Amino acid sequence: MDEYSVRFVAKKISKIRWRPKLDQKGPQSRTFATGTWDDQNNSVALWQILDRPITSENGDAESLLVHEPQKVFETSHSGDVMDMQYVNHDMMAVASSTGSVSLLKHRPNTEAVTTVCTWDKLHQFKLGGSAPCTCLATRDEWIASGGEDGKAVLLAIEQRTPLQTLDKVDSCAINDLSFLKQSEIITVNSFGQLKTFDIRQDTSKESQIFSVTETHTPLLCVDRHPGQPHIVATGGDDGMLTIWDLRQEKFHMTLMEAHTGPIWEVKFHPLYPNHLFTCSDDGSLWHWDCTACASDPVQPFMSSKGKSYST
Amino acid sequence: MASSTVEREPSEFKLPVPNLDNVGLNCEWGLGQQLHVFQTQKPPANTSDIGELNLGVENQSIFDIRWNAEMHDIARKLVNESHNIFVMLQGQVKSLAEPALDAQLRKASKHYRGVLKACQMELIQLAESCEDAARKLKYETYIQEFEIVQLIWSLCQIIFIDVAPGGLILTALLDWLQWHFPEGKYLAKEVCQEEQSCSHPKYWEAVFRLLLQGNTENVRLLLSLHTHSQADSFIAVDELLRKMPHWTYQHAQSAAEFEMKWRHWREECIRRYEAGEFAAYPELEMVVQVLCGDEAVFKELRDSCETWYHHLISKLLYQNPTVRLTDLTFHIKSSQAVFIQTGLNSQELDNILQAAFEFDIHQVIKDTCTFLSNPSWWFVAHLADLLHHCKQLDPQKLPFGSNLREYLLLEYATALMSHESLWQVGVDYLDFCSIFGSSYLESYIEHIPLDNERKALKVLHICEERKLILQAQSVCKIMGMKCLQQERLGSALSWFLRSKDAVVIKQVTNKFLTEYCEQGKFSHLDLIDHLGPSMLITNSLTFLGKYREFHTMYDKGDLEGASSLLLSLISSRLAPKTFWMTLLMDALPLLNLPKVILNIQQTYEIMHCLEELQRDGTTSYKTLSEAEVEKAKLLRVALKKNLSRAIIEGGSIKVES
Amino acid sequence: MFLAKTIASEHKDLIHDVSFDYHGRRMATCSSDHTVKVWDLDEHEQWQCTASWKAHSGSVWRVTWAHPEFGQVLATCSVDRAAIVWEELSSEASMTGRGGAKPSSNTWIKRTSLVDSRTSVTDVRFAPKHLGLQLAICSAEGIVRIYEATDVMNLSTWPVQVEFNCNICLSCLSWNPSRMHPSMIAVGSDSADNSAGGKVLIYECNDAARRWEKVETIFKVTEPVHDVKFAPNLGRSYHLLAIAAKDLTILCLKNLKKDGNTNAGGLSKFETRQIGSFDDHESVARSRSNQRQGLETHAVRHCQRQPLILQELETGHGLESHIYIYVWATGKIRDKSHGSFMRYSASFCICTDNPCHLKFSHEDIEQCRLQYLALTTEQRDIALLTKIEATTRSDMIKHYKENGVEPRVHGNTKKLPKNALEYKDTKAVVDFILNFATLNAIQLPGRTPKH
Repeated sequence: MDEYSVRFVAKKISKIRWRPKLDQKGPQSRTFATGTWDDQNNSVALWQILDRPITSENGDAESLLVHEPQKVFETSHSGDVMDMQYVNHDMMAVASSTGSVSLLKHRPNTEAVTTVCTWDKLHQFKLGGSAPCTCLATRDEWIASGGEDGKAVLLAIEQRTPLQTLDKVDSCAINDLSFLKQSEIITVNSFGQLKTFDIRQDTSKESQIFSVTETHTPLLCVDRHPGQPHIVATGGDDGMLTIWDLRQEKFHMTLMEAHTGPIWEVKFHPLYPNHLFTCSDDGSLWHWDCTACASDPVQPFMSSKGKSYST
Repeated sequence: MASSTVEREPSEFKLPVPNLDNVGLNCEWGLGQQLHVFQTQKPPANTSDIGELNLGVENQSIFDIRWNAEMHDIARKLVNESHNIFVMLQGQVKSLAEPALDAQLRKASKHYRGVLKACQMELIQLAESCEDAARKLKYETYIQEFEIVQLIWSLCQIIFIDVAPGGLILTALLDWLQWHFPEGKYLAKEVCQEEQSCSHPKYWEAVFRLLLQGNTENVRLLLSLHTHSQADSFIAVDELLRKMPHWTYQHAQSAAEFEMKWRHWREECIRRYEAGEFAAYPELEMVVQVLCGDEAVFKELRDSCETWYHHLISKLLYQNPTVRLTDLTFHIKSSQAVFIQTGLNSQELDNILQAAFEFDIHQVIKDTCTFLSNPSWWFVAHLADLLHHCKQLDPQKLPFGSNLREYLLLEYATALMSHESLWQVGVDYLDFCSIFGSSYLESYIEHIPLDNERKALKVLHICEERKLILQAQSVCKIMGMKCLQQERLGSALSWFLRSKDAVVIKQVTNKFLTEYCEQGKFSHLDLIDHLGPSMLITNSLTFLGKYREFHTMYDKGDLEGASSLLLSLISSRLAPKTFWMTLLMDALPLLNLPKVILNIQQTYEIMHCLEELQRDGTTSYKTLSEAEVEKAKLLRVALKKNLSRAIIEGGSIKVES
Repeated sequence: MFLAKTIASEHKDLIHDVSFDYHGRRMATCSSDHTVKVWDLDEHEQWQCTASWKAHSGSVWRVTWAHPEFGQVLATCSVDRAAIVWEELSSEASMTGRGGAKPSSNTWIKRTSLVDSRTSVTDVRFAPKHLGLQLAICSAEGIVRIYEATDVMNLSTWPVQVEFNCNICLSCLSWNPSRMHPSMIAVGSDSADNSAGGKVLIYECNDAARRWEKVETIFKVTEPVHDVKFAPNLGRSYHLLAIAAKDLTILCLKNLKKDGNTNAGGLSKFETRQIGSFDDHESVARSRSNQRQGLETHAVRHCQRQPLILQELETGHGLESHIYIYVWATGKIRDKSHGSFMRYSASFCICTDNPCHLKFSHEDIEQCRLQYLALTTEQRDIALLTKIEATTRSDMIKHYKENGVEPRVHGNTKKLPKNALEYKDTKAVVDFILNFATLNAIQLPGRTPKH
C-alpha cells in the first residue's frame, strides 16, 4: 500500500484508465491511458510500465510500481477529455467537451491507438449549441453517454448511429452514469439527485428518483457494487460519500463525510467489493473497507498537492 | 528601489499595413499578454457630427499579437514542479521553527536547482532532436538562460542561504566554480586519454585550470603522467600539493588554526621556490608560483580563468583562504581590473554577480529582472521568496504598497493567470501573497472562462475555499444566466439556487410559471417535485413548489387537501400578479363539483381576489383578451353558485337519522 | 518574441472600437460602415464572425459588453445621436465556450434605443457589476446620462436615472470600478477651447442627496483629451486615472475624507498627484530618427489581467504610429516602451507598376527586411550592390578573410579535370608569345602608349 511511483506529466490530466487484462488469469496490465483537459491542444496518451532488470534484495516479486511509467504514444484530441472508458481489451471510448464520443482501438503489435469512429454532436442543447459529453459507461458492446444537456445516448460499437436517445433524462446536467443491469442505467446530476432508468421502456420517465440532501449539492460520480446491483455509491461536491440501497424506499442511504473537496470519482474494487476507493479535489485518495459493516476509512494517504482526478 | 534601472531596448514589431493620412492605430487588450491592433481614425473625432468617413480603408485586418507566450509551454514542467516545492516550503515555514526550517530552506533551494537542471537537460534533448532552425535557436537561447540562472542561483545559495559557520566560504565557492566551469575537467580527461599526455598541447593548460580551481588531487594525477614525473622537481611539487591544507567542515579546526597551518605551508612553498628547486621546468615554476600566491602569475594565467570571478576565487584560494564573506568586496576591484569586458551580455551578468558578492540582494534581484527576458520572473519570484524566509530580504515596504517578495510573486502569478491552463497554479501563488493576493485573486478569478460545468465547479470550489463569496455568487449567476439563455431552465434553477440570490431565483421561477401558462404543463417535474427546503428561499419558489403540490393532490383525488392548499395559495398572495388568473381558473373545477368543497369564507376569499385583480390598474389587466374576460365571467357565475350552496349547507343542520 | 495573427475584419470602413467580453472569448467590433460584428473564438483558436448587423444610421463609435451575469448584452453608440442596447437571442453556438462556433448564425436584437441626446453620442459604458445593470453615455453637447435597467430579464425599459451637464463637449467617460467607493465617473473633453479650464472632470454620486456632483476638475491637463480610464482597483487604497491627451498623464486620487463620508454633504475630496507624464518620446524611441512633431496620445486602455497601462501615439505626418506599453509598478512607471509597433509604409516602396506588397506576403517582406537589417553596413553594401545571393556572398567573404586575395580553389584540387589548364601551361603560353614577339619584332598591345 505504501509504494507508489510518481511521474511528472506537464499537462493537466482529467482521466486515467488501466487497460483491462486480456483474460482473467493473465498478468497484470502494464498499460494505462490518460486524457488531458483545459489546454489549447488536448491529447490522449498511452503509458507503459516497462520492464527493467532490477531484482530486489530479498527476492520478492518485484512490484510493478518500482518503475516509472513511460509515455509510449500520444494522439491529439479536440476539446477537453471529459471521460474515458475501456469497452473491452482493445477498444476505448473517449468523451469530449465538444459533445462527441470517439472510439479508439489499440493497434496490435504496436503501442498506438487509432480512431475507429467518432459519433459527433451526440449532445446538443435544445437551441442548438453543442453540449459537453460528461460521462461514459460501458457494458458488453454498448456505450452509454450522458451530457450537460440532460440527455443520455446509447451507442453500439459497430453502428454509426446511436441505438437510442433518451431525451429528457434530466433537467440538469448529468454528471455521471453507470449501468445497473443490462437494461437499466443510473445517473447522478448537478441537483443532487440519483435516478434510475429502464432503457427497454420507450419513455424517458425515470423509475426512481432519490435525493441526497436538502441543499442540493451536485453529485459528481456514481459506481455500482459489482456483486449486488442494488448497492450504489456516489460522491458529492461537498466531499460526502453516500451508499444507497435501491431496494428500500425510505432511509435508503448512508452518508459519510469524507473529503474536504469534491469527490471526483468513486470505484468499487471489482474482485473485493468490500473495498471502495474515492479520490477528491483535495489531493487525497481514500481506501474504504466495508468488511466490518461499518465503513471506516482504512488508510487515507496523500498524493501530491496537485489535484487528483480519478482512480 | 529608486536607483536607476538599466533600460532595455524597446522591442519593435512592424505591421504590414498600408499608410494613409488620418488613419492611426488603436488596440485593445486580450487575454494576458495579447493585443488586438487595428487601424482607426486619428485623431478620434467622435465629437464631430460628421458621420461618414470613407477614408478608403476596406476590409482592414485586425492583428492579434501575442508576446512571450511560449515560455510556459516549454518550461511547463519547471512551472509545475517549482510550484510543488513552493507550496511545500510555505507550509513548512508556517509549521517549523528555526533550525529545522533552515535545513528545509536549504533543501528547497537544492530542489529548485535540481528542477532547473532537469528542465535544462530536457531542453537540450529537445533542441538536439529539433529540426526547425528557428525553434532550435529559441531552445538554445533558453538553455543559455537556464545556465545563467543556475549560475546566479547557486552563488546566491552559497552567499545568502548556506551561511557557513565562521563565515568562511571559500570551499563552497570552489565547489561552485568546479560545477559551473567544467572546462578544466574536460581538458584533463582529454589529456589523460592521450598516450603521451605531456605532449598534448593542452596539457599544461589543463594542469593550470585544475590548479586554479583548487583541484589538487587531479593536478597531482596529471603531473604524475608527465614523462619526467620522477624528476626531483616533480616530486617536490607533488609533495607540496599533497601537503596543501584544505578547509573542510569535517575537520574541527578553528579558522585560526587553519590559517596558521596554511601560512606554514605557504612559507615552505616560497622557501623552496626561492631555493630554485623548480628552475628546471618553467611550467612547474609557474605552478609553484601559483601555490605561493604570487600576484603576477595570476595576471598571466588570466585566460585560464575565464572570468573575473573565477580569477577572484582562485586568487583568494592561494592568497587568503580564510577570507570571510564580508571581505570579498575588497578584492573584487583588483580582479575586475585584470579583465577587460567585452560584450553587453557578460557585463550585465557581471553586475549581477558583483552585486551578489557585495551582499547587495536588492541589486541582484533588480538587475536580474531587467537582464533576463520574461522567463526570469520564475527565477526572481522563487529566489526572493526563499531569501525572504531566510530573513535575508529586507521586508520594507515599497512605495507602491507591498514588499519586494510579494511584488515579484504577484507579477509571476499574474503571468500564470493569463495562461490557458496554468491559472490553477497561479491561484496557489496568490494565496501566499498576504497583502494584495486576495484582491488580485478576486479580480482575476472572474475572468476565467467557464467552458463547461466541471470547470465552473472547480472555479467555484476555489472561491468557496477562500471565502470569496461575491465571486462564488458571480460564478453561479453567470452559469445560470448561460443556461437561462439556452432555455435550460432546470440547470439554470440549480445554479441560481446555489448562488442564493433571491432576485434571480425569482426571475427563473417566473419563467417556469410563464412556461406553464403557455404550455399548460410543467416541464421540469423532477426538479420541482424535489425542491425540499430550498423552496423557502424566495416566495415565488415556494409558490411554485406548493402549486405543483396542489396539482399532484388534485390528480390523486385528494380534493379537500387540494382546495385548502389552493385557498392558502390565493390568500397568501404569493403568486406573481400575472399568474393570478390561472390560479383562479384552477379554482373553477373545484367550484363546480357536486359536493361543496369550499365553504363561505373560502368563497369570499376567492371573490375578493378576483375583485382585486379587476380593480388593479396595471397595463397587463387592461389588455385582457376576450378569452380572459370570458373566463372572469365564468368564474363569477361559479362563485355565485358555490356561495349560494355553501350558505345553504352552512346554514342547514345535518339531521342524524 | 512576437507572434502575430491576422483576422480579416470584413468591415467596409474604418473600425472605431474593438471590445472583448469578460472572458476574452468573444469580441465585438464596430465601424464607420454602420455595422457591428461579433466574433467568437473557436476551439482552433481562430476568430469566427458569428454575427454582423447594421446597428445605426451613422458611424458607430463605441461598443461595450456588459458583465456576463446579465447575459450576453452589448451597448453601442453612434453619431446618429442614439445609444442602443442589444441582447443576443438564444444563440446557436457561442454559449458552450469551445464547442464549435458557426459563422454568422447568431441574432442580436435591439432591446432599447436611448435617444435623449441631441448631438453625437461619444461614449457608452456599463457600470461596474456591483451597481447593477447601469449604463452611462456622454455626448458632444456635454451631458452625461445614466440609465438603469429596471428588470434584468426584460431589457426593454431603461429609465433615465441621472442627467448632468458638464458644459463642455465630452469625448470619453470612465466608471471607477472600485467597490469601496461610491460610484464615480471621470469624463474627458476634446474641445480645443482653452478657456474652459480643466478638460477632465470627476463626478461622484452623493447618495444622501441622490445626485451626482462634480468632485474634481483636473486642471493639469489642458490639451484636448481623447480618452480617460480608471485602472482596476486591485486592493489599493487610492485610485489611478490615466488620461490620454497630447501626453499620457497618470493621476493618483487619494480620498482625503477617510472616515465614513456617508453623512449628508459628504463628498470626497481628492488629493491628486500626477505620478507620470510622458512627453519625452525622443528619449524613448531612439532607434528611429524620423521627425517627430505633434505627438498625440489617442487612447489608453487598461489590461484587465495585469496592472498595465497602454497608450498610443501618433505623429503629425501620419507616417508612424506607435503603441507603448507601460508597466505600473513600485509607485511609478518602470520599463517604458516595452513594445513598439510601426507601420510598414507603402509609400517608401518605389515599385510603380507591381507594388511588391501585393506580390509577396507580408511575412516574406518582413523577413527579408529583417535579414537585411541584421547585416552590418559593409555586408549590406555588398549585398545590395552586387546582387549576389546570400550564401555565395558569405562564402566569398569567408574565403577572403582566410586567404586574402587569392584565387579560390575549388573542391577538385587534387585531381584536375581533363580540360583544365594548369598555371604552368598558361605561363608557357605567355612566355611563348613574348618570345615570339621579341623575335619577330611585333608590337604587343600595351607596350607603347596609345596602343
